[in-house]
Amino acid sequence: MALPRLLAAPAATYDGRMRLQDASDEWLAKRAARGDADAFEQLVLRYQDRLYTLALRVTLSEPDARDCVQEGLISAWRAIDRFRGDARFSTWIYRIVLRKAYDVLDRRKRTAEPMEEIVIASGDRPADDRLDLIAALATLEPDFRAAVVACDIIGMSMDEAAAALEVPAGTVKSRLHRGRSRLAADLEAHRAP
Amino acid sequence: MTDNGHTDHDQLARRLHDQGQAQAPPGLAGDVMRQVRAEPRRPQRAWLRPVALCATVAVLLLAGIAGLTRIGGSGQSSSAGSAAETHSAARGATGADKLQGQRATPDAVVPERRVAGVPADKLATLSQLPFCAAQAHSYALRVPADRYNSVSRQLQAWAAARPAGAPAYDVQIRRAAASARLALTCP
Repeated sequence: MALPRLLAAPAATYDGRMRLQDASDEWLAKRAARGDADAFEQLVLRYQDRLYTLALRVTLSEPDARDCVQEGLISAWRAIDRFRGDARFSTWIYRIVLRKAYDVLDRRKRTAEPMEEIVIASGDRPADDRLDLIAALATLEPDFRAAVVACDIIGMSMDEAAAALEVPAGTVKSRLHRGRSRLAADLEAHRAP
Repeated sequence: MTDNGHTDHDQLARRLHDQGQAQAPPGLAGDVMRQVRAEPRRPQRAWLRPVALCATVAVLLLAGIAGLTRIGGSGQSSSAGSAAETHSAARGATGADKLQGQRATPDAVVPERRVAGVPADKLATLSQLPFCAAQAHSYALRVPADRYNSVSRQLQAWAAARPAGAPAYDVQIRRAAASARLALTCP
């Protein structure tokens, strides 16, 4: 009989972690909204690198990026019952972290906090042209940089980037194009001599 | 843009994607989850929203019913008041007495008042008498709010002093805005 067989299955074969790993973002978010911290942890593990990359490339500071991600995720946990699922979870969480990153940039502008140097993330290898690319990216204005980071580094679609950056898709397209053009020109200028 | 430009941008995008990635610091997820677990969420109460919605609708409905009942009640008392007034005017009661009665009930709303048997010649001094085919023996008198009481009293006095057999009309007095002009109209 099927039922006794199910009941007889050893508890050790039931791997809750495995199931969470297979679940969609939206399902995990729903579970998290009901107070399931394990589901939320799965989302944290799934998104921490992308969120950190996003925050790091926009703020250009490792400590600030870490704070943005940490605060963003805590804010997301507190507000996850307001995530209605009509947008993708990724867009929602990117938007939260991007807001934190922009807050950092605004605070810097207000306090005229100096940026000592362009930050290279842990593990970056300055020996090759990676340094040039990241350094050139850092010289872009924040709005252009955010569009380039969202679309090219994180891999968001134009619409997703528009939702995350809270600007029209046309604006993202134009910022992305101008950002890439400036980057290309910068890299070319570095190579010229 | 040229094809070359497209190619440049595509190559750049690929390089950015390959080289721009960074890894989150090792302790980040742990720190976040420690904080998350330290402030456990209040489990979402899925039933709360519909219940709150139903309660709100019920309160609004009750308020609406109460309001309608009150308006209906006022209308009835107003009609009753008008009928009584017509009756008392016919008996020759003084207008001042009735006004005293109305002042005694401050909550009473008297949007209109009816005075029976106002002599035609007196009425004509207030306004030209219009021709009303359907209601040959009654008129509506639109009175500015600030003159409402004085005109009412005047009409009641005229009605009370009407000589027997003189042509007369029933007048429905309607309170109008203070800026309105006093005018007789068909009811």
